[in-house]
Amino acid sequence: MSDKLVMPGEQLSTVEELLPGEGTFEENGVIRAARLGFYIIDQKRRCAQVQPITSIPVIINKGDTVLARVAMAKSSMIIADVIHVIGKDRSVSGETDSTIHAKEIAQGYIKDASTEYKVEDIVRAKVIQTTPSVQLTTKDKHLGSIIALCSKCRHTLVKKGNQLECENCGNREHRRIADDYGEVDVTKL
Amino acid sequence: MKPEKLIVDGRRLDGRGPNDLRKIKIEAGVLHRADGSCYLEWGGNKVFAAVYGPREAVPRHTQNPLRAIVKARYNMAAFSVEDRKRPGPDRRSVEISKVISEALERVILTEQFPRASVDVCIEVLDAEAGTRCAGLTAAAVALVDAGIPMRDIPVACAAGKIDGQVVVDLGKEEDNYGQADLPIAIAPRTGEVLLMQMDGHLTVEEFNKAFDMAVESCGKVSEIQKKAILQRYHAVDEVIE
Repeated sequence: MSDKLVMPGEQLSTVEELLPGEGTFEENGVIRAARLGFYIIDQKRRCAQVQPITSIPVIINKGDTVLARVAMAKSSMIIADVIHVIGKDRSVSGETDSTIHAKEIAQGYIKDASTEYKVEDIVRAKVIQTTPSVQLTTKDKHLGSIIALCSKCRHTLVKKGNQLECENCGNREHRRIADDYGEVDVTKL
Repeated sequence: MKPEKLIVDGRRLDGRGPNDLRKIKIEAGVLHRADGSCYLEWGGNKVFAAVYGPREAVPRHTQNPLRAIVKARYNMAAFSVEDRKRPGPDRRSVEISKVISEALERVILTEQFPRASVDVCIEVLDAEAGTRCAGLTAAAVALVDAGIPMRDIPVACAAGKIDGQVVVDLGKEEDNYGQADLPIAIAPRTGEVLLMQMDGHLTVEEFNKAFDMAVESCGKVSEIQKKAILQRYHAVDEVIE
């Protein structure tokens, strides 16, 4: 192990010796640092890495819990924009388009996905695939809608028993909601 | 008012020799709302640089499916010059934004972030010749602070000709009344030229001399950049040790 502080462009090793890992790049057979941080060698994988000391861009990975805003609700799937990766303090880098297939909404059978989420809902979901497209699931009681808007007057719906109710117009709606619906402060995530 | 001479007894108006730089102060991580930032003072220049992203490029037709785009925005504050500058982009700032974007694009590992954009905002608060070099140097430090993967830390410096003599880092009078200005930006590790522009006239010999002097000065500025970055993360260094 090495704990040498390295700058972008600094030579770390060669491809004959190690594999280029996270925070590094290879150029003419030489492994160089791509970011500021500590140079470490993953002995198990024989891989050179740079452990960052700055904040780094957020990339969506399989297994991440994310917040997504529903952009379109179809009968077969929900199309949503990933707006935040929970636990990270930076905006998402690159591809944010994602889909939740009807079979990934809940444990039971969902006939029509558009009855479970509606446009502009904020959904807490888990990433199950990143390539070739980002796929999400809400098959957990902690996953699902955390903020939903009334489809008639666009006011925030409030949880009343198993249903959601609009305090403005009295409209009652159904959603696949997370167990902590209405208790989440999105500014503190 | 134009000074009679720009070099008197081998010394420039501010007392510098031909190879001397103005005083440079760099501070990284000064803005908390940006992903990476830098404040730089270079002589009388005062520049802020902020980096955002990589984030989804908008409008979407600007996205490149294979790599990220780099959007630098160079802006001079209305109060940065003697006469009030009309706010907003003009021909000069659009050009500088373009050349800085292209220079930074050469060192950022853009292929790691398809469809994204790296936004760099350069705000010149106080201008005293050489703001594009100061802006690019500040932007480079801000990019490192933002953790953007890069091949090298770019650096810029200008050389020029005043009173028939080639000097580096032109000051305000030297820039206004000198015979030539040659700002360059390089990747110091490889020596690759990322930006080169020229204003005025130089002979081939003078150009080669000015280029070599500017590259040498870039090396000095690069050291200051690295010190500033290390200083910013000095506390982190201590905790880990």
